[in-house]
Amino acid sequence: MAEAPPFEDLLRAVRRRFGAGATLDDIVVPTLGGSNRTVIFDLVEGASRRRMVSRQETYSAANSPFLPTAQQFRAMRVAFDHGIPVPEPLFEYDAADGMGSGFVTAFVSGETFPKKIQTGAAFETVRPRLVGQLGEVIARMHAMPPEVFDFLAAMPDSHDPIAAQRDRYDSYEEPRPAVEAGLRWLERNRPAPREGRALHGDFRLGNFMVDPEQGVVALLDWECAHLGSPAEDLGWLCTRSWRFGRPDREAAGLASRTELLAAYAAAGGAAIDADEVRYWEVFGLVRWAILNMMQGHGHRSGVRRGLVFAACGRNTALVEYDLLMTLTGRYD
Amino acid sequence: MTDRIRPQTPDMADLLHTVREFVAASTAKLPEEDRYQAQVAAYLLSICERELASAAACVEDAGALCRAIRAGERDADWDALISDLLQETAAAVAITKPAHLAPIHKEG
Repeated sequence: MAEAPPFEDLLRAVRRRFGAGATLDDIVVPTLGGSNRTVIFDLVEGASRRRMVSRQETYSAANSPFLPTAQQFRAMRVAFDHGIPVPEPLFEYDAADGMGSGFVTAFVSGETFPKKIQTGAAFETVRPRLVGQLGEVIARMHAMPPEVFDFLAAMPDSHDPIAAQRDRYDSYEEPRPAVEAGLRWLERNRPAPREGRALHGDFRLGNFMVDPEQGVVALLDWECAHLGSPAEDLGWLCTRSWRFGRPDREAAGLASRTELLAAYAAAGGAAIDADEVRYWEVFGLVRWAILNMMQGHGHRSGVRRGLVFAACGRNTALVEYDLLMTLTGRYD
Repeated sequence: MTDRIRPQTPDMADLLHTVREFVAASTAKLPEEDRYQAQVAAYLLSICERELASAAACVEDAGALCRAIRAGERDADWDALISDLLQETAAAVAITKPAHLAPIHKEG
């Protein structure tokens, strides 16, 4: 048995907000936390208990594409208040907690693992409904008055998503002609600008919680929320890398692009044609290639070394391959 | 000391292969939270094996090519550029993860 990790800080933070009688129970630390320390626990107050998730930021790169936790929390709060399915944001850590930056939300149970959602027997019944739910959820998100995300207007992605990607790419100081060509293509083929909407920014299979009966129950991972074209969120959902084992089904490997767009429009979303979504899929591949470069750069520079980050660096070529196959019309 | 040695055995390809086999065989015995890391370790070793066996020469002109693309100097021969980059990238993927290639780029 490994020694129990210290949760005294978490208990103290909880008691500051819920009173000295509060206790923690059934504590689980998921292993794949990436750049966060995640702790799942029951908050027990007398006879009542409520399952919660704590997320603390443990690593923040100088040129990180991810929002500070305070802004993630605020974006989730806004979405929650507008009835978007999102784990209820409960409280943020402050200086007196001594836990760095982070926050606690309600726990939502369900499955995020792509392969299980795509092929698991438990999801057979709900699977055909998922594309409709995804189209509806993201249409409702985009229907929020964009002013609710004004606090994200200064994000480079809100101003010009292509320039934002290029700046990050440049900061890794690794010239890669395929990425460069992708950026050039994006600049030369920009669709007509649309009115900016509140975007989730990381809307893809793996970042939403699916319940075997209810389907999509929560949008997770709000680290990339910003303002922009609604087609950007739809394109990220359809980006080839996020189709996992079913590249023939464009929308999250679950349904066709056309079905997603129909569900989106039926739920009040703007009429967006498939080619505009394809543009943002190319953007998605460029973005994903650059995110892999970021992990590889963190490894090579010694800031954050590790097997997975080294592998990400190497995997950049796989994303470039999909990008070039798409640009030559071999992949759709 | 001399800078010339006879080939030593087992050679590097054999050593990498041997370590990878060990890592792969040990993965199932590891605690669940370490298995993913072990799978990635075996993957990285397999990349090294393929790179060692590869005859592809490294090109060092990425900076110049990137500047030309950014300056729009390759817009006029865009299709040829993308076609060249695809060939080069397919060769890189053949080393990194051959299973990722589409049938047209798979050997045999």
